[in-house]
Amino acid sequence: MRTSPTFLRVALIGAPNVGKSALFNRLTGRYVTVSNYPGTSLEITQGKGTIGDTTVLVLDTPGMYSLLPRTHEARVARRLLLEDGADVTVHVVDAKQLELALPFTIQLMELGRPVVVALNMIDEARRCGMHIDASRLGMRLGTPVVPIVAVEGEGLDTLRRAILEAATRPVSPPPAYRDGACAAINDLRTRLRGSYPIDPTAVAALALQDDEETLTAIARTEPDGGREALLAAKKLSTSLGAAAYRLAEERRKTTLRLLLGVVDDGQSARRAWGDWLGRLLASPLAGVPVLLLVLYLGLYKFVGQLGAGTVVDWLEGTVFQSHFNPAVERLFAGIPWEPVRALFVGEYGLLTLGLRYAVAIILPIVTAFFLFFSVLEDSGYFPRLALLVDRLFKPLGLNGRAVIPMVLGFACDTMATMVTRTLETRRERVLATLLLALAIPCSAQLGVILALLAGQPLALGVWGLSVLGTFVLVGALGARVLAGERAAFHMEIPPLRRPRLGNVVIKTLSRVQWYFLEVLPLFLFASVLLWAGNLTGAFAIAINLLQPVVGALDLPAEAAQVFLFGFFRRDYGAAGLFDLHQQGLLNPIQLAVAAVTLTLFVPCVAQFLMMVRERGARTALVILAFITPVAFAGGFVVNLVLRGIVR
Amino acid sequence: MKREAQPVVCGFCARAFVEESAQPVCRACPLGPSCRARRCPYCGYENPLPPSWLDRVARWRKRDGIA
Repeated sequence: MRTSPTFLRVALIGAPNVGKSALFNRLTGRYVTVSNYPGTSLEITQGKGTIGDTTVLVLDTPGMYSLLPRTHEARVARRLLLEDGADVTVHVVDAKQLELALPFTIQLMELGRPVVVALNMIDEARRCGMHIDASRLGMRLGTPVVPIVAVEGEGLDTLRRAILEAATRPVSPPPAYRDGACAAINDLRTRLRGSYPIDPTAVAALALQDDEETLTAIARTEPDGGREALLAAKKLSTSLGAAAYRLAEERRKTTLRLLLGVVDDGQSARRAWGDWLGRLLASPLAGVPVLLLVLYLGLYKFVGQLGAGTVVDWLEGTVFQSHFNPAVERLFAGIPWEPVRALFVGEYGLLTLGLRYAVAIILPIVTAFFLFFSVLEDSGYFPRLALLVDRLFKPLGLNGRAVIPMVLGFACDTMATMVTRTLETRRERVLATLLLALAIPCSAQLGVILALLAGQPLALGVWGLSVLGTFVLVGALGARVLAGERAAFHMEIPPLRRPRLGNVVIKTLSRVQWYFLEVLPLFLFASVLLWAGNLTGAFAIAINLLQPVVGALDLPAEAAQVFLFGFFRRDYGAAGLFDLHQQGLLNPIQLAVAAVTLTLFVPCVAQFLMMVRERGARTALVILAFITPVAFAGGFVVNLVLRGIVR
Repeated sequence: MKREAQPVVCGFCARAFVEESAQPVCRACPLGPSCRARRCPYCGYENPLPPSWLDRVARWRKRDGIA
């Protein structure tokens, strides 16, 4: 049943955890029913209440951030909003997050239905020192903005009055887009002849953003099957560039204009500075040097020199080699059976190799890496990095969204390979999987390599250029060879923030615990495998098979076992390389060659299995067959060039 | 004791989501329920969940007004 003077349908819309359910309970009391939304298993809660003489049916919807939803729940909420409609939409907003929420308010207003903004948790905003001039914001928006505290019932009477008034007054137009975006929306709007349940402006805006459901609705509704409108939508969208991004950016700018002089938290100068810095970090001119500085300070100085250098030296050299290993060797000396003794304290012993690699080499490195990673994550730097590399990734067939798996790959390539499924096209997913397997070292591998090359600036430069060059070259070639669609990238950028110590510590410890608990059993298992391989002679056979390749790279024979370790786990191989270096078996050229080859070398077993799972056995095998010769060829070329230079 | 589902704020896009809404993205993962990470349904970023001991410490600090 639709609008009547005595009956109103009111939909509560908003992001998760903004207090929609608390407000729902306040507006409805106890007359609540829960039913599945038609065609879905999702429960929609609805309840009745009264405002004066008007009966109100209130709908509590699942959380959503915009009219372009990504989750199943948000899609259901959108369908409820677009198709079934409500007489009044109440956009419930966390007052502290007004800047993030207002772009969605603008989209809701575009639907052409009455909107009321409920500024919830205003008490918390006040406690944070924020003062929000709600009436001024309401006047600028052209729709009521009511500060409330849903759990306390504060501001509820005003909200009820605002809902009634909004239902009876003419609907205000939404803030207009500027320039090209506005013209494109109007152009498309004038071509729409059919009858839609929402304002044609919203239909045009959604169609320009390539929203599939809207495009289908146009094809269904327009008299000519939507041919003219869909063609125009495609042309206009192309002329706008990344239309979804462009419109999102327009809404963000409109929000900033609306909030000017409305929110006072005594930090406007700091926020303005933060906005400026955020924009700077995403611009190529300043962003690239800042990125290089961040990598130098964070990865090279902190992870490489401090974590993998100083701390590992102490743990590995002093604690394990000088105290722990001799102590356990004495403890097991009484065991008369050599094979049993070797299982625990031999060259490939569980305690002297497996435990030492995990605790003395890998643990300090990944701890330093995750600490650096958590600081960047908590500061809001990653979305800026995504925007920055969006342009750089385009020639490689990728876009800014690929930053997520690439960044996570520096922590663990196996997990990052799984994340590639979030990329939009198959082409992107295959390219990202290939690049992760080939040229993105995991945290422990990266830390060890940086520590090993720290004292050799030339070798470090050669390693960096070789890996980066391979990444770019293979990516660019892959983008040409692999056919498929190019996906556009847009995201709403959260504000830059000062990292909070509590957040950083919790995230670091969570990741370190997860990584270490995963690594320790695998390292111990690897030691047992190596012990068994050594005992049966299988290990020697595998090493012998690798000898010619290792010889061609001018590496010592012992380097073969490092590559064998590396296939088992990347970090295990890196720890093996560290051991070789400690024994003085590698000169600077060999160090650079081994580092380049090991970085480009085949993915570890776990990553390979994930590749099979995500991309299928055929693609995974093709990638493996491609990477193996590329890695050794890379090492071979580096060796040739460096020896040529030194000679 | 089963851990109560908590809202997670994504470390990448800063959007909040409830743990359950992350599940469909992770359904195919071999780690299954033992996984200590939740993937954001909006951007796909992997967010670590604190281990239970750290959760308890955080709650204790909050209760005593330390944090």
